[in-house]
Amino acid sequence: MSDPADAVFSSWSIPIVPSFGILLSLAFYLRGWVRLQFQVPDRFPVWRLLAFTGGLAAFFVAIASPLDAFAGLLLQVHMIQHLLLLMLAPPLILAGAPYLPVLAGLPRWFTRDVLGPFLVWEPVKRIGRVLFHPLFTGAAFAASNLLWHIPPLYELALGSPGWHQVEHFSFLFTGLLFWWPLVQPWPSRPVWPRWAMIPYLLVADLQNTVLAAFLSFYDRVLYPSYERGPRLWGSSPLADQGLAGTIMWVPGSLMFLVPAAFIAIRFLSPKSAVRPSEFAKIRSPQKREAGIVQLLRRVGVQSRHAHGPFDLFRIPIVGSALRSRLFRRGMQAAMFLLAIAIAVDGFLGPQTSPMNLAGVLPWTHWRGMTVIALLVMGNFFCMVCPFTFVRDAGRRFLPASWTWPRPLRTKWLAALLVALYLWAYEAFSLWNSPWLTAWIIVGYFLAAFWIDGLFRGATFCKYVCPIGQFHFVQSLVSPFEVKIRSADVCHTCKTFDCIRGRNPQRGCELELFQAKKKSNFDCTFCLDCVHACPHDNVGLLAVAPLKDVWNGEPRSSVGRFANRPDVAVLVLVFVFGALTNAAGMIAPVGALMSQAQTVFDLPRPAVVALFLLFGMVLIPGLLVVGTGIASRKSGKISVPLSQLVSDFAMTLVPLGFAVWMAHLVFHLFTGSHTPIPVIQRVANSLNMPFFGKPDWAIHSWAFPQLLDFEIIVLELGLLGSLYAAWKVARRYGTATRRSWLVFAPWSILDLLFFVIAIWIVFQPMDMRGTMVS
Amino acid sequence: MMRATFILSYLLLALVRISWADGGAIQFQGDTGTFHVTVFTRPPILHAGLIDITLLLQERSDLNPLLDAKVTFVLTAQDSATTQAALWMPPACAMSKTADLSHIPAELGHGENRLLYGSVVQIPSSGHWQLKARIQRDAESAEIETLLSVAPAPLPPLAYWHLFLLIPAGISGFVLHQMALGRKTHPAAAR
Repeated sequence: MSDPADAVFSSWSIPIVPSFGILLSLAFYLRGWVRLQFQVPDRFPVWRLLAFTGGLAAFFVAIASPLDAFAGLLLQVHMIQHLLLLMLAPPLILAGAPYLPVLAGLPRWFTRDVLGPFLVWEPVKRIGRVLFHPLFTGAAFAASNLLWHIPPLYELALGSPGWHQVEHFSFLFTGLLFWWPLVQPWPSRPVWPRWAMIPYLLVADLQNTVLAAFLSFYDRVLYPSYERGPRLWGSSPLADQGLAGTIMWVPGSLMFLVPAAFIAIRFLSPKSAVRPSEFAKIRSPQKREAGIVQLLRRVGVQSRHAHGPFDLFRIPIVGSALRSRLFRRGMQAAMFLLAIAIAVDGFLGPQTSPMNLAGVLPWTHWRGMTVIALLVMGNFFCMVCPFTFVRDAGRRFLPASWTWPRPLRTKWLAALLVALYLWAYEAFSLWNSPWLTAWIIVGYFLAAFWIDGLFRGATFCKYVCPIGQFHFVQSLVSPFEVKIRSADVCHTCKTFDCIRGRNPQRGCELELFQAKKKSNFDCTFCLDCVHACPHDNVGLLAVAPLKDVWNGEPRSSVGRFANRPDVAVLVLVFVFGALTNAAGMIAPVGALMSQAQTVFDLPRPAVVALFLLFGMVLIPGLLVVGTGIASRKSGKISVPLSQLVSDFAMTLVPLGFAVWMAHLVFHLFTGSHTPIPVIQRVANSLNMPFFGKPDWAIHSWAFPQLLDFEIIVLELGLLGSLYAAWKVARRYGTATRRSWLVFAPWSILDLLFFVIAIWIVFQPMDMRGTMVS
Repeated sequence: MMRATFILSYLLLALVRISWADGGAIQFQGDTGTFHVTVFTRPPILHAGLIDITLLLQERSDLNPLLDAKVTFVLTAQDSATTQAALWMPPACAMSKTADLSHIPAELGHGENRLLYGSVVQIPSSGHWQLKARIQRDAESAEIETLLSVAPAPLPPLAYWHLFLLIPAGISGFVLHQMALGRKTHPAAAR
């Protein structure tokens, strides 16, 4: 691109966090607007949706367009950016009357349980009354506008991206406040009479005019940055400043004077008396609030039954695809073929890990995408499991009629296998050995074939598969669950097809009875229950993430978590396994293990075994049991220790998940492009040169803020675990004080875990799966 | 309180003394051959670790931006006596870093502003570093140089403290939520 004009107009950037916020706001608004339009169509016409969308678009243009890229070089551009934030985006957003649509569009549990208490809390209402009073809104707007134009503060914002964001946020925020009494978004009520908005606007225009005139006529450059900065196309800084002042003056004043004139005309016109809204007629605040609550109930925000939760199956195309057997089979076939290709390349390809499919796809991409899918959707990787074909083949050729021994119908074996896997991973550097990776895949094929070929049901998935156990545990944080749509339908059901099956459709092979199923635990998302239910009563529903971590109720096929020490041990292996697995790739731990090998003259597998014995078994065991004892004593509760520990062990799931997420997503991003040269190599070896020659020094999606991302994920994990521990503690402590005492030791354990995880992410790391390693 | 106010004021003043553009500090501005060159660095105060170097190339006569040149940066440690190895740096493997500081190709479209040539560079240690920018356009070549003062890499708590605000914010939100739950007065808050 050699044309500067093209370069200027292509200077767009996508700031991740604000863009994500804009998209999310729009999604929630749209969802709520659709609901409200059914109930009160006259209040939410299409123009409100357009106005809200336009406001968000103006905000996006201000922060992502060339306006932002050139704001530091030209004051006039910076001024247009500020006008968008102060004058255009806020009134448009408010014209969309976003309060009710956003409330109605947010997940029901969030509006009801998280926001609900705040919305009716008297201190919040008091703050709201002050914040939205025209005296305050006008003063805040003027103060923000004037203060940020004082040279030292303006220079501060120009010099620091952080302060620049603070400045933009304060412009948008005070803009929203300022325009509030003018737009008066429904269902808010005016504090001042309408005519008072005329002096309100005129006063705002006065301060704007004074500032604009100063910028226009001042004979020196006010902001040194623009004087010292490069002059694009030879424009002089003083002319630039003058033009910026004019932009502030003319279009800025119009934004105040046009509405003022409009209000004055309407006010003076006898025919156009403003029609009071149906809510504005209600004088009593209590009655008015009750009316709003009633409306929210009608759109399903407050009621548990008025509307079902969000159901992925109800989304056109996506829902049909997810339900379709053909789609699922197709995905499983694709994954099966990929697994075969990986195994073949692992055996026959080069044994340098980043050059082999077996060295990059399973360890970098599949694991990273799995945790992302678990966080965003649910256990979709079990849904498209490549071993399904092998299991089905086993059933075809073998009896598949034996019963899995009763003592093994627990998670003890699975926990042991997971621990063995984590040991083998580190001891034999599985990530660095395509050959061993290929053998693992073959071993998996054989195990799935024989176990499900000999035993009834999904024995392999439920009791053996370590990958499946990982998905079961981590999917407790997922926002979607295979779940019944209506309990009433299940109450009248006499056939229980969801678990028994309906010929030829089999029921749940993992023995999860839908009516009593309460979480994703043990659910492979196979959707057999969905197809078996004759009432079409099973959906893929949105649920409050994490709530099953603290839910103490019994659940189908699993019982209460408190009575399942095997499940607790499995969880603890995953949680502390996350820490030891991540620690295995940092320099201090690597050096320590090498030193131990030399000093004690031990082979690496033995040293790794010792490391895991301490890091994953002994120390965590002592810590968890010690915390359990302290919790029992401080809270003076009499439940058995194993029950208490089993219950609280589940609360560590968010932290464990966070460590896996930070670790595996780090690898995914740093090794994002590694399959490309590997696929090129494979294609070349198959005489398909059109894929091009492999470029082994290929770039990645690694970005400087990757460490920030890891820290934030770990913090969210900590907060999730703390909250879950508090919820469990509330079950044990009858009084609040007692609950705190039960909770305190577990919160210390959570913090300790978090500190170790943070220490790990700050260490130099081995770049596994890439050429850098 | 006085001390905190003083430190805050000093920091603010220290920040605004530097001339900025495009969110970065101007390290060089001047003419060479038929070119007018401006070099920016981010973050504004340089520390050992990752820094972003960008360059605006303009025609000397009319200050039109030039986008068809080939620009290369060269970084050389100048003051070996005061050069200290960084105590700590962000895990460098998170970046596709340039290993060879003697030849750092600067690309157009590297950042938000597509008029700038730029590259992200990992400076391994603190001290004084000489930055050269070699410009090649058609048959004409030019070179500018400037000196960068690089402070030691900040320790993790200083570099990342703002990220850790999420925890107290989350806990405060929870406490307020509990207070709101304890004093709920309206059926809207009831389950």
